[in-house]
Amino acid sequence: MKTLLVFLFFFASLWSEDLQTLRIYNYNDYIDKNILINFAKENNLKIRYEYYENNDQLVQKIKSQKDGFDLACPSINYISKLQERGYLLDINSSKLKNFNNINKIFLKQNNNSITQSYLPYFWGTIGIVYDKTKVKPINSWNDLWREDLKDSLLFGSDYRDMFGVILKSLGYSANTQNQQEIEKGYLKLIQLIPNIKAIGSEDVSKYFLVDKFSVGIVFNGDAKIIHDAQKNFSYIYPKEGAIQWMDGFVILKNGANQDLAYKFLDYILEPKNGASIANEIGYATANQEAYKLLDKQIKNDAIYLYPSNEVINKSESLKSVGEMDKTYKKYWKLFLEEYKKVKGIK
Amino acid sequence: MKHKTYSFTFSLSFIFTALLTASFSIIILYNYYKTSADIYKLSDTVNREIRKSIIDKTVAKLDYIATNIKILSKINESDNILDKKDDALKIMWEQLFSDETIASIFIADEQSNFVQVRRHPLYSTRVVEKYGDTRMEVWENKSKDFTTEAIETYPSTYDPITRDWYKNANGKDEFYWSNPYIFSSTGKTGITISYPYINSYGTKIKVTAADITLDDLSKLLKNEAKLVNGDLIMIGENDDIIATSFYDEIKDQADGKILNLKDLPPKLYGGFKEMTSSNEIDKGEFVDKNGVEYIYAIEQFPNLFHKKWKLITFVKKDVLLENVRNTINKMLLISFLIMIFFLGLILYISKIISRPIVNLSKQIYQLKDMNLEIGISANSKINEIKTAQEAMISLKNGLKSFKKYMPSELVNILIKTNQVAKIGGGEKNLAIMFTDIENFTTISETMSPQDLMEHLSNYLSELVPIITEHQGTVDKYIGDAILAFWGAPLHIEEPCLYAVETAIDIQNKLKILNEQWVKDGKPAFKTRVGIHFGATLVGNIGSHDRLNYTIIGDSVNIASRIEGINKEYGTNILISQEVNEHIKERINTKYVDSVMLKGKTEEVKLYTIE
Repeated sequence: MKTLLVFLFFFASLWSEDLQTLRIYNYNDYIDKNILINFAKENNLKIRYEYYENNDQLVQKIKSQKDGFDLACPSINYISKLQERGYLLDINSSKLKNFNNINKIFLKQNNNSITQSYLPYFWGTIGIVYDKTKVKPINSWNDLWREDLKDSLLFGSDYRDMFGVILKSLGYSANTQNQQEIEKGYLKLIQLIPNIKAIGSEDVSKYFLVDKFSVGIVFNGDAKIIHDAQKNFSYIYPKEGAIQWMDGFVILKNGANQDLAYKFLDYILEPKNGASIANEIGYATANQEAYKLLDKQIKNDAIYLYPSNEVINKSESLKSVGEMDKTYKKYWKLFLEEYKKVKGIK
Repeated sequence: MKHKTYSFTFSLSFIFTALLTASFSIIILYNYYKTSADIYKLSDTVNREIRKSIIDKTVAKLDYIATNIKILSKINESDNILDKKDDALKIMWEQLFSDETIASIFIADEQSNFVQVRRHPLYSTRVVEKYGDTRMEVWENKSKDFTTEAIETYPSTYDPITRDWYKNANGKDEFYWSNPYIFSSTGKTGITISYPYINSYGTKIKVTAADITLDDLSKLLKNEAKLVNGDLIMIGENDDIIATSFYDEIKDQADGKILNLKDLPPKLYGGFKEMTSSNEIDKGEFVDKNGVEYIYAIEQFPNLFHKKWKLITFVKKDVLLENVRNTINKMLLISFLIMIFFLGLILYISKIISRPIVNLSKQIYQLKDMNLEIGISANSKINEIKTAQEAMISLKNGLKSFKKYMPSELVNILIKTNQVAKIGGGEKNLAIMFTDIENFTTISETMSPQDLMEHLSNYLSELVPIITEHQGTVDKYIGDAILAFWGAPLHIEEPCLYAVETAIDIQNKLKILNEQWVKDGKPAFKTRVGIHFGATLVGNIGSHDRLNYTIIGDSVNIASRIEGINKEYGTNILISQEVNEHIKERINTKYVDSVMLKGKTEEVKLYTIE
């Protein structure tokens, strides 16, 4: 009997090896599990869906050429890095029958040269969340430098996101490639240090709900979680314009299953599937047709999920800054050193 | 028959050493056997404790896991395990982490739904459920705090209800325990325990189970093997090997299979074939193919345990006895050193003890040579030796007295030649001397017998030494006369010369003595001496009990006659011509006369000394 068991086990594992495997690399909590299961079932294949913790990790993994992913879902400003280095395959929109389900605004907004390199997935904003009961009203990025916000601010950990915020507060573009502007941004950034209480890591909501932070620069999704938990927290889009983030699916050149990759993208572009995912993960979908199937309550959430076009138009989404990326990184590093020195952290 | 003799010291030392050796040997041998027996007993007891401890640990662990899956089965009483699956998974996760030997915990229901938490190949949960009409696998790789790191999903080919662990878990409140087998995902040995949940209608709803790796058992056995000083094997019901302390050695042979006791390489433990053939034996000995002896014991798992497993310990006899042997060797060394020390001591003591005996034997030796002037003291503290010393003194005194009656030369010879005096003699040419006191009878009447004895004794005491100093043998005293001879028992070169010199010395001595005696008011003893030389019969004459060493023959008579003739010629020394012939060159003699002696046919010439 045990030999039969062993044989069956072996046979089973062999069989699953024989199945085609689609490999996807995405941020965690960023899909409805059932979507994966149903896709695998309908196409009689295996899906391996791996999580990454941050964009840097994703870039490192793809650079190392290991693990041969078919699809990945990085943030936009990282997508351009990958494209520059030739890891990506252009997305041929004609191969996607559901391509037009995407909200055009997201396709138009971006430089034509990178449009085809990704399929917009979910998007959102970076704004300010604050405790209405503890903090005087905020409506500008510059409010963060206020005296009364000393040692109260949760700052973000992504250099492009945060530099974007600073640059916008100065009225510059978040994607400036101007050396002086970046430098000015750095100087202003240093001035913010006294107000920074912590530089946030993964579980952002915890800082507010548990550690009682009163103000912070956060993603809209985190703001929603915080607000849902404690209604005294408010989320605003500063008047200079919010930072818009977007994550998109890319097809990787060294993937083994390009046809499957397209099939999968088409699958998640299906309205009901897109809606399923949107409901599950609580962010704003770029899939217009899916949006239409969402609950009214969600659709009408202009604060956290689907801000008005006005807001969208004023907000700036992050793009590649080419060679200046090194400069941004350099200043960010200097900022971190200064920050640690001032705060007395090792 | 001559046999070898040994000195007292040597004998004493030898005996002491022999006794000591015998004592030590007996003690050491006894010790060896007793200690060996004790070691076996002790090892037996220790091993028993160790086996019990291992069995208890194993039973406790397995029972603990069994209880866990029993509890798990009761958590969700719905017949669909996917209800509240997340709650169940949380609990299963905790249970998995509670014991590292649990490889996975899983549940299946009658609809072939399947939920599992696994440790290998990565920490993950695995769910198999129906999506539409297809059963799909959904695997989630988890970090230790239960956050997902990756998901895998694919159509499933696994149907839990066809498996043994599911099928065989049927009894109400009864566990199913599989036989040990190799886990395909890890290649490790393990067993599966499963437990059915049967509802009040008697319907099987679901089965909970756990896969348990048994490799840790081998590690445990390996550790305990050090205490046992041997090896351990845990076997299942068909003599399948569940765990051993020497797994590393048979790993290659096992090659991903469950080994049976019979499979053990003969090189290692070929004795097992005989050992397990009779199940009743729980202790015994066997010899493996290399001739190495082992002691083994088999202990059954408790009756209440679900399976008839056994734990075997076996130890090489050599290893057990190693310490005993070391100790014995040390004992031997110490004994040897003690013996050397004692030998020295014994030699010293026996020398002290033997000294008086040795002295005694030296003194006896002296006595034998008639050196009677040696001093013997009865000074030993040991009774017997003191007695011997006193006897020796008596003997010496006795001999001293006897010596006076005996011709000492004669006795010396007898002693030297180790002979007892017996009747017999021979003819020899001897110089024979007679001495006689003038007018002794007349003088004797003028003295009291007491004084006479004394005076005569004085006289004889003066004369006899002169004779013996000149190597003469005093034969006897005949009243006041002395008969002496030269040439026997010891041969003398010039018997006549010595005899004549003796006579001269006697006369010279007497001159002085007589003067003194007369001064003291005692009578003078004038002495006449007659000497002859001729063939004489000399030897031990008498009866067997009482012998005289004496001379007989014509020459004796002649000597006596010659002595008597002194009266006629007024001489005090007369010698025959035979004597004269021998001495005339050295001593001046004067011819006196030729006489016809009674019974002789020829005349004898007589001479005197000038």
